[in-house]
Amino acid sequence: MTKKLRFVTVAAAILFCMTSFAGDGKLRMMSYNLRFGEIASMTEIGYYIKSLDADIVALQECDWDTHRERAPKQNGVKFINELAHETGMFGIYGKTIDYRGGYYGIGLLSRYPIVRSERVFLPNIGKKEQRAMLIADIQLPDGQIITYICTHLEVSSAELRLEQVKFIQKKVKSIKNPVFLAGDMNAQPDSPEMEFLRKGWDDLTNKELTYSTMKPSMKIDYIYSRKGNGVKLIETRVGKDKILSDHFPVIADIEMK
Amino acid sequence: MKRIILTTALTAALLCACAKNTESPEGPDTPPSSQLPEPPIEMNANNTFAVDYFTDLKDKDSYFARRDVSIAKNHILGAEGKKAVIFFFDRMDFTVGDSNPFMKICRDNNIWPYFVQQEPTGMQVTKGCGIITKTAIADFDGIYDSDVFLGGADIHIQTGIPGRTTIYTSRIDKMAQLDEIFIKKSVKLSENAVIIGRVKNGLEKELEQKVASYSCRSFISEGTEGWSLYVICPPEYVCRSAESKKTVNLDYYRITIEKIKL
Repeated sequence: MTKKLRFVTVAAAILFCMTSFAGDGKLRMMSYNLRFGEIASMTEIGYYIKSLDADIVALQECDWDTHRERAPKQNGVKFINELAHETGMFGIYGKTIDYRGGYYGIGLLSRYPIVRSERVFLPNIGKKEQRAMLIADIQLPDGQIITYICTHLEVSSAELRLEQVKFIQKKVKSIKNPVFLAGDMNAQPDSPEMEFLRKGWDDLTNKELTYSTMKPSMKIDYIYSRKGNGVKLIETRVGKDKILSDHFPVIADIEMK
Repeated sequence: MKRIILTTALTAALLCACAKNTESPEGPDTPPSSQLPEPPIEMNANNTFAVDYFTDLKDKDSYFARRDVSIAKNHILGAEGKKAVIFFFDRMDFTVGDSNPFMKICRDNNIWPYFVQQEPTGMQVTKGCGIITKTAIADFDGIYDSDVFLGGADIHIQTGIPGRTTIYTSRIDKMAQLDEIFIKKSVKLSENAVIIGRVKNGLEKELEQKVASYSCRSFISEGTEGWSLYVICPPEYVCRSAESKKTVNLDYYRITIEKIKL
């Protein structure tokens, strides 16, 4: 190998290593509703997440060992383990309900170690589908610990969604770390639920529609940063380059001050 | 004569006084422990559970650097694995972006991987301990503070004495780390949490004393080059043994812990 080529290779390697977190407080956050793998396999989704170079990913409609007629290719698949394997990230799972021989729920992938995690059930008035929040404390290379929360709110009742966001707001009060909340909120930006959230959180996403991928008509996927985190939004977008679900993922690049 | 007797008596008295004064003062550095009731001599097998701890106690590299993951997978999913409630792999290093041998054990199987770091997060590689559970865990507890890392799963263990137990791991190379753990997790460690991990050679005695001062029980296995295996239990648990075993050519310890009624 010539000297020049060797230098370029080494420089490229160093640059690659610095891509997602250069030790200067930058993070790429993501939230993605997977539609229980109906449209794409975990290999395809994992490859896509890896190609986006995300640092932390909140996942919704995440199955574990289910047997759905609508997603026969995912039968028996343990989504979070597969995605952790494909992406080389740490994965945790928050089961919400037993379903079709396995579990249904939410998950989280992190490039960096997860010090602590907790699945907390959300209020469920009227015995609707049980929803949850998955809370993870993640230690970044600069030593800082952040808390990333994944959630998937109720789909059929705005009143219940409002109770759920109030519950989340109350739950995070005692958390001293910078806190982020990401997920499928099943609510449009001008809804009372999202207006309530914006009192205590900054929306790190833009107005682009996220659902559905076939016929985009709503924005219901978000990443929020709790006010006072001291976070600077560098760039935000909706991942429209691939259709692997009925939702597009939301992606936000931030800088921690 | 009287003078001689007096001088002798005075000298003797002086010597006694000096002897008393040269003795080191009573009282250890750590507060004296309250006496824990001894566990029953006979083990009740119905109240025991096992933890399989895969380690060579050397801390030279990742456990699967030169070992076959399929052997570990077969152990966990086979007849022997049914006897343990949780599995540890110490050390397990994670490289950012790389699929880990640990994940090769877990993917496609109904088992759940967790990771407890043993050093601050690295830009590329982080050293730690891998944990595999056989049930979904709602609560993975842990602390990180400076150089103190502790992590573990809260699981329901089916024994004659029902209840949940948190099984933690932590690598101890300074006694101050143990103080920090006991300060932060005092309630759990006095009720229903155990810690299993490696302690640096030379600190074993101090660990035993420290744990006793917090009114908990400890068990130390004989160490190898550099580290010993330790188990810390609350008063109503006792570690009965840490048997050195092999599955094909993988070394591990089968740790048997009993829940007891005091």
